[in-house]
Order: sequence, then C-alpha cells, then structure tokens
Amino acid sequence: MAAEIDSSITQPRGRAPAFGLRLSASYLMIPMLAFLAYFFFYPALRLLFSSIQTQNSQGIVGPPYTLEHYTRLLNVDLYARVFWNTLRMSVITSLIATILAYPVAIVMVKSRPMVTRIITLIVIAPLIVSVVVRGYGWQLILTNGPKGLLNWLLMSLGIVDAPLSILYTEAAVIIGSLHVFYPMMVLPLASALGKIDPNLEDAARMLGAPWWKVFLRVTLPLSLPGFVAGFTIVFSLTAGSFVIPAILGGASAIMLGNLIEQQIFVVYDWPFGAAIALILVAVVFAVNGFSMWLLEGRRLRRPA
Amino acid sequence: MKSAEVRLENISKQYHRLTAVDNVSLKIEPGSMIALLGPSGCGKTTCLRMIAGLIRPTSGGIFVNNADITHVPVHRRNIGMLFQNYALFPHLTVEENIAFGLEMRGIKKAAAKARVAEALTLVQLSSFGGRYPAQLSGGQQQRVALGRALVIEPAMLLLDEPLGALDKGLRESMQVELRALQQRLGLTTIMVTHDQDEALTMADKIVVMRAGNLEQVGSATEIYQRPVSKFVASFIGVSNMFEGAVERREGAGGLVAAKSGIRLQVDSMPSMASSDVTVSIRPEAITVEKANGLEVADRPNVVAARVEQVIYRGFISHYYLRTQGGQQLIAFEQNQLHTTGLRHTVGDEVVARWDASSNHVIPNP
Repeated sequence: MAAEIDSSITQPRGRAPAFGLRLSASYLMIPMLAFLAYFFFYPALRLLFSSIQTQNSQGIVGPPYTLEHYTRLLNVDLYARVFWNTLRMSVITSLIATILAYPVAIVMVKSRPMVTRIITLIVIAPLIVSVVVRGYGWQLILTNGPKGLLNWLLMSLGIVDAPLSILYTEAAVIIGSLHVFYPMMVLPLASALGKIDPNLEDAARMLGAPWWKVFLRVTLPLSLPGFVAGFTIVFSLTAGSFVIPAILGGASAIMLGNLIEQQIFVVYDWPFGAAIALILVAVVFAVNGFSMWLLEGRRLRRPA
Repeated sequence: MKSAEVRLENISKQYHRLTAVDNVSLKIEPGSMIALLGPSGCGKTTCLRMIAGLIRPTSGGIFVNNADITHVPVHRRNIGMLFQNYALFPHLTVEENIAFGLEMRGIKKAAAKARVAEALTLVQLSSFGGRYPAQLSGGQQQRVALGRALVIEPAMLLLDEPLGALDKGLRESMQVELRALQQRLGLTTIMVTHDQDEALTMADKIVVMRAGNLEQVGSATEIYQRPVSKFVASFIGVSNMFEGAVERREGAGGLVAAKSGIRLQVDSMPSMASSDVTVSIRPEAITVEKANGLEVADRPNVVAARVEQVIYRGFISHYYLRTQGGQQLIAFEQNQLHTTGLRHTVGDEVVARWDASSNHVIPNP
C-alpha cells in the first residue's frame, strides 16, 4: 500500500520534465519550421536542382545534368562584368558607409542619452520609407540634364558649368545603396564603440597619444567587431539588391539581382537564373563566413 | 626620475549650476605622496582629472615646477595615471601595453624594448610580457598599469582609487608595495581614495575634501588627532562627540559642560569667538572599568554607563556604552592575551573615563 502511493507520486513527477517540458518548447517551433520548409527550403532545393539541369527547345527543364550554367556566368564577358561590378559596387558602398558611419557612431556614443536617441532616430528614419519610394526620390534628385535637382543646385551655385550625368551610372547606384543601407553600418558600429571603456581612451591620451593616434591605436582596433559586422551586412544587402540598381542604375549599372530577374522573366532561362542566384548566395555566405571566422577566437585582438 | 612640485591655484570646476570643485589651492611638495580623501561627490576625482588634463578647470591654474600647465593638452603633460579598472588595452600584450607610451614618444624599437624589460622587472612581471591583460589576475593587471605609467618617466603619478577593485589582503600588500616604490623613485604622487586606511597607510599628507572644498590638509597624525571639524573627526576613524559650551578657561585649557550632562576637562582650547564647541574623543582613549559603586558625581572626564553591545574583533574589542544622560559612547580596548574572554558583557554597569589630553575641542561654526 505504502509503495503504491509512493510510486504514484514520484512517477509523474519524474517524467514530467523529461517529456512534457523539454519537448513542448520544441513543439512551439513546428509552425514556423513548416512554413519555412514549404516556402523556403523546398523552393531553394528546386532552384538548386534546376540550376544543374538543361532546358530543351520546348522550354522544359530536365536532364541531362550539367554545370555549364555556373561556368557561363564567368565565361561570357557580359555576365562576368555584371558579376565583378556587383562585387566592386558592394565593396565600395560598404567602405564609404564605414567612413561616413564612424564619426556619427562616435558622436552617438559620446553624447548625452537624449542626443544619442535623437541621432539614432535620424539615422533609422529612412527605413520607414519604402526602398522603391526612396529610389524614385533619388531619381528626381540625380536626374541628368539641367532639370535634375542636384544639377540645378550645382549650376545655380556656379560649382559646375554643364550638368553632370550621374543617374544610370554606378555612382547613382552607390549613392542610393548608401542611403538605404547606412543605418546597418552605424548601428553595429555604435554598439561596438559603446562597449569600449572610456578610460582606455583617457589612458592612451595620458600616455602621450594625440586624438588621431588614440583613434588609430585604441578606438579603431577595439571597434573592429562592429566594423566587420556592419561591413558584412551592408555588403550582403548591397550585393543582393535589386530595386535600387533597377531604378538608379538603368542599363549601364546592372547588378546580379537585375541579371537574375532578366533571366527568369525576360529570357525565361530558369536554369541560368538559378545558377546566378546560387552564386550570389554563395558569395554572400563566403563573406559572412569569413567575417565570422575573423570575429571568433578573438583573432582581431591579436596584433598583425 | 625628477620630482615635480605641483601647485593648484584657486581652481574651480563648474558643471552648469553645480560646483564640483570650489576655489581649491594646494601645494604638493616634490617627491611626496598626497591623498585626496573624501566621500563620493566631494570633488576629489574632479581635482585629479583636472591635474591630468582630462577635465578643463572653469577657473584657476595648475603649475608643475612653476610652469603653468593649465592649458597644456593631456598628451603633452607627461603624467602617469593608474585607473581603478586598470584601463589596460585589451588588444595589446603586456609588453605592448607598457611600450605604448614609449611608442607615442617616438622612441626607437630597440631602446623601447630595453625600457619595457626594465619596467617589467620593476613591477615583477618579467615572464608575463607576452600575455594579454585578460590572462592576468587583478593584481597583475594593476602592476602592468603601474609599469605602463612609470616607463614614460612621468613628472608625477596620479592614482584614481587604484586598489579599489582588489580584495582586502592583496590591497593591503599592494598599498605597502606601491608606497615603497614611490619613495624609492621619489615620484610626486597624488592619490584619490575614499578609503581612509589607504590614505593613512600610503600618504605623507592627507587632504580631506568635502563638497568641493578642502576641509583639512595635514599629516595622518594631524588629521587623526586634531581634526578641525566634526566632519573630519567622524570621517577619519570613529569619534565620540560631545556638544557643549565652554564653562571656564584655565590657562591654555579649561572646562566644557556637555549638553548630555558630562563635564569635560581639556588641556588645550583654541581661541575662538563663540563658546559653543564640540569635544571629540577617540574610542581607544576611553578606559572602561567595572562600576563597583564608584562615585562619579561631578568629576570631569568620567561618566557612568551601561554596556549595550560588545563586538569582539580579535585584537581589540568594541564596547558600545549608553550614559545615564542617554548619549552613546564607543570605546575600543585591546584584548589581553592572558585573560580568557571579554572584560565586560552586555548589561554591565561601568565607568568610562579618559585623560584630559584626549579631549579635542572643535569650535562649532
């Protein structure tokens, strides 16, 4: 009798955490996993699959299997140029964003909380507006010819004599991308800078470092994690962007995103479009992986 | 290393409406160590940071060997500083941390290497040069910070609560070590602390600060034995304070009648306008004896009391007494090794008495 009571009390007690509690937390993820499985992983796998198939004259995708689409991107001069342009423009955008972000991030960290909040608000305010709207906004500003806002301003101030041609160049795409992705650089940088003990900068000054040496030897190296994070995000987003180059780049500053769109919707070459998309994903993954490798194990703390 | 004389002349620091430091003047003898001591918010750290150049004074001047450095930027002042949290560069090795100041001075790699090695020997960390700060203990980190501050051969050393983050035992041994090193190098040193023991242990001269002003400047003994104000008397060590009025003067001394009914005979009485005074008596000056029907009556410097609390501290015992007039008295007595247990227990009727020379008269403002 006593033993019976005993077991009836202890059994559910012992089991409850093992099954009920631990697994119930995992169950919560099922709806999301199901959604992702059907709407993301399955299409991604199909994409991968179709990128190694061929399209016959009837437009049906199927065997034989080939890697020809992957090599085509780099072997055909026009496509290779788009590929390298995309990488170059992404790197340039990330670098300019870094240069523009450091001063703002430093001010954010050094200011009083109220000022910091206001600056943060100003920095992230553009995110409220759709990328398409901002793209067309920049189009108005950068319009070639004397009627463009920027050209009108520069000419009325007497800075230039003839209107500049910025729209539908790489410069226009970089300007637009900077505007869209700048907050992604400022925020991680400010977060990294905020973690630096202000005494370190005081200590460096007391040891004889003028402000620029304090920045180069202390602030910059200690903020590298934020820089790497910001650079990776801005690079990834710029490399994968479609709207900004479509609106501001025109025909002369095509990026991989636009090339994919052309292959899918205009040329109907789905295998090739899939291959480009996967190459783009691979490049972004590689950059992310490299920056993770840099960040982990405090490799950045070790002097070169 | 050369010793610098440091002089503050009427320096003030105003933050909006708040006055952090109010017209402070101070002279620090070359090669001496002074401690700025006070509760938080008394302006001691602001003073230190103004000497360092990290804060610009609102008015007044700072002089080192009679040269005005008030407007010299931080990085040209050649002052060594130790921070409470050590402030070592986490991305640099111990050696690189110490070499930082030399690098900023444009000293060649080879010469710098020799001096870094010398500094590492000085702070007894010769074999730790290749480590990163995170791989060191708190005490070792503070030693690296010390080496980094000393290797530049600074005109003076500033210590901002340097040992506050260390545990007690290590802190005490570092205090002695730091003091010995400072004396050996003859380096003018200014320390900020809220720890009176640290100030008493390390400094030639203690500067007690309160609300942006200097309350008292003097040696440890002067500050402890002859506090100029009730604030100093209660901030440094423990004091029994009697509010009262001068009853009569006799030569240098006189008699004070305390409000609680006790009469106090004093050996020396400062000249003052008011007869309103506070008499402070250090707890270790008070002798506690069994009452045994002893007649206290009107005799000065004697009071009947009851033991309210006893704290055994090993070497000494603290007795908290309550006089018949209702005033609390604290007495410290050294424990005798040959006696077993405490001389008095809670509830005992006792008589507390002390020497006239232990009475220190502070004029009330």
